[in-house]
Amino acid sequence: MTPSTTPHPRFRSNPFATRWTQPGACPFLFPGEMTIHQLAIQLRQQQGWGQIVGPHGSGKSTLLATLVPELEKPPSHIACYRLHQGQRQLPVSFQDPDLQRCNQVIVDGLEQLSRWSRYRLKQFCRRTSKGLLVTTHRSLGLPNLLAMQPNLLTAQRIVAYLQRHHDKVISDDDVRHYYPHDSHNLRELLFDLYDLFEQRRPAAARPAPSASLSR
Amino acid sequence: MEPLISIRLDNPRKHYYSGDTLHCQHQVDRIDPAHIHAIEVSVLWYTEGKGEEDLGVHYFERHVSGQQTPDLRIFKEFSVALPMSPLSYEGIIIKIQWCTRVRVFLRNGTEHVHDQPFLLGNIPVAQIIEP
Amino acid sequence: MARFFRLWGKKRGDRRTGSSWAGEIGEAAFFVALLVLGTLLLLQFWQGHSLDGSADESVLSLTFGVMCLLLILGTVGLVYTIIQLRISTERRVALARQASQLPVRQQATNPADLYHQVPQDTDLTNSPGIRLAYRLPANESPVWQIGAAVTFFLLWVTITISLSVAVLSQYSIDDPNWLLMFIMVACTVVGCWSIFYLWRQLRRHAGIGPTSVEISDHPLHPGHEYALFLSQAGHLQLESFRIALVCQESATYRQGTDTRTSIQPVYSQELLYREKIEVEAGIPFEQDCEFQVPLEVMHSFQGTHNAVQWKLRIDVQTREWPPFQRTFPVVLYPPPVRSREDS
Repeated sequence: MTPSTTPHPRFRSNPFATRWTQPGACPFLFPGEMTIHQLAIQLRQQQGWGQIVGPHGSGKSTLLATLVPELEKPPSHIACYRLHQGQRQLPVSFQDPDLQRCNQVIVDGLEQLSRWSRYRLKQFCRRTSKGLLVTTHRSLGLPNLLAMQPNLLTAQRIVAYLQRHHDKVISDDDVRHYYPHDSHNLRELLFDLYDLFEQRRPAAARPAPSASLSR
Repeated sequence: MEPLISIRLDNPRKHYYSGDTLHCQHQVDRIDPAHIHAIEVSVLWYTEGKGEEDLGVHYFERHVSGQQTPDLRIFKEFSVALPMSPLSYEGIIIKIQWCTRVRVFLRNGTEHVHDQPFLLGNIPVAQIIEP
Repeated sequence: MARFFRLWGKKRGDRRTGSSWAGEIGEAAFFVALLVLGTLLLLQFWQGHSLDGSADESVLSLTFGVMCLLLILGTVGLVYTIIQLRISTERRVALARQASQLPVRQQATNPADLYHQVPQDTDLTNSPGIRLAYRLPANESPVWQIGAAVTFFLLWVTITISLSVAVLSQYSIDDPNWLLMFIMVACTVVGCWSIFYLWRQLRRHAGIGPTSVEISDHPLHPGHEYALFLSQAGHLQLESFRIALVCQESATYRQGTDTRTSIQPVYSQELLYREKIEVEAGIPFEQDCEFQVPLEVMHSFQGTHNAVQWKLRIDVQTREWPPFQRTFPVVLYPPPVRSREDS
């Protein structure tokens, strides 16, 4: 669902709610001068084969959500699958009509598949001349399309984008304080900033506690 | 050019209670009627917060452009009794918002949506409590 | 890569680090080891041990039974582990949630049709109380822990005794089996730990008896008053005993391979507080109290990923044991339809 108009005046939206941060809701902010169009061209130059490599919460699914509309332009026909923990096989068989019809297969989270399932998928795509674009936490032997390397500057840009319609409750210093320098997990950062944003809501917006005691 | 979708609720404060009847008027402007394939109108609630979104549809109607309804832009209205639950809620990690939604499907495959939020019930804003 | 090599997990908020895959492999390896052990012992039993009456038949039967038990346990456990590997996380979470929480069912009954997304209270009202209308089920049940400890204890002691008999038999005929002896020593160590663990669980259960909460009516409605009857059994010195009506929000987020659930308390109303209470064995601490549900609070809500949950929470601090907590879920309905005069 695409968020549209502002909610009821009394309903104060948190810019770090998953509604605004999930893949597809927030566009991927490229570092430097790279654009989504250039990335799509690079993928086509690689005959549709590529891997987006990055740690947890680095924005791989967000990048994919931003890239898919670019790849969906005719004559391309894509089949996209998002895998979750424990999914050792593709959710459809190789005879699936969508999979047969497409010329670009996209798998979000390829490392979830078993080694045998990965091999079979690659062989299927090679045999049928389909492109294979995947996201993964580690290299799986496909040509690199983009290696995700989130940093503090990227995080600050994302926070500024999310707060573009709000008062700047979260500052760049807050982002610097909460940024996970060991894991670079932007998703964790946004969860922490959600809590911080809620804590900083004006005190007048919340009623006084009303607990009664019985001793 | 994007179509202009207008939604008007009978209560100017947009504040309702369970059992109240919501009267809604909607229309679409700034677009050729021949470009509209269908219009969907719904009254729904959705969650917002740290968790994945939940959604529930309380009322739904769909109008498809045809011989009997050649111009879907024209002014339409509907009424629906509002349910007992869930009530609008502004929590800490969960918020429940009600709205009336109009979604316009164009013949070129694009969609345009407009929401008119309203409040159901009178639940106060939640407060943060240390565990 | 680090998480694949970490030997232990760390809890970070509502999540745990470490590789679940490594854990599943370890679990499978454990059951494979049981299976192999049972097979080896059985083979050795058939090949080396003669039924010439030199050994007590009852011991032989017991040893044979233990071997078969090991085989069965190893096979069942291995199959179960393999099956678990094929189940997605969301299904495991749903199964775990069914065991520990109230099921939410959309029944074709009037309350379900009237109160959308409000959990059904069927499982809360199917147990009548002694003094009040309903006895509420607790979220936590110590019976399972004790049952598991007893089962493990019996199984392991049986294995250890059987192994000891086999080792002594070999030793008595001047043909010691060092491998068997090593296994016996390892099993003895584990057996001693199981005795200690069981003793601790039994002592804790005897000391901290069951907590019972009865309520005069259910489900709850805003503005209404309710009576509670509390009972805490056991043999312990209560430093403090507190019961509160609490509300918490629960939000589950999933993206990619990550799943997390956040919990946020949003309401707490202390209903009863007592200090310095001595609970005697056979004479439970009992207390009545009344409370009123506030008028303007959020009702119980259950979505697929989000929930607003109400519960009665009992916090106890004792002199002998670590503090413990018992929670009893309740369902709070929305306020009634207001009359036109109230508009």
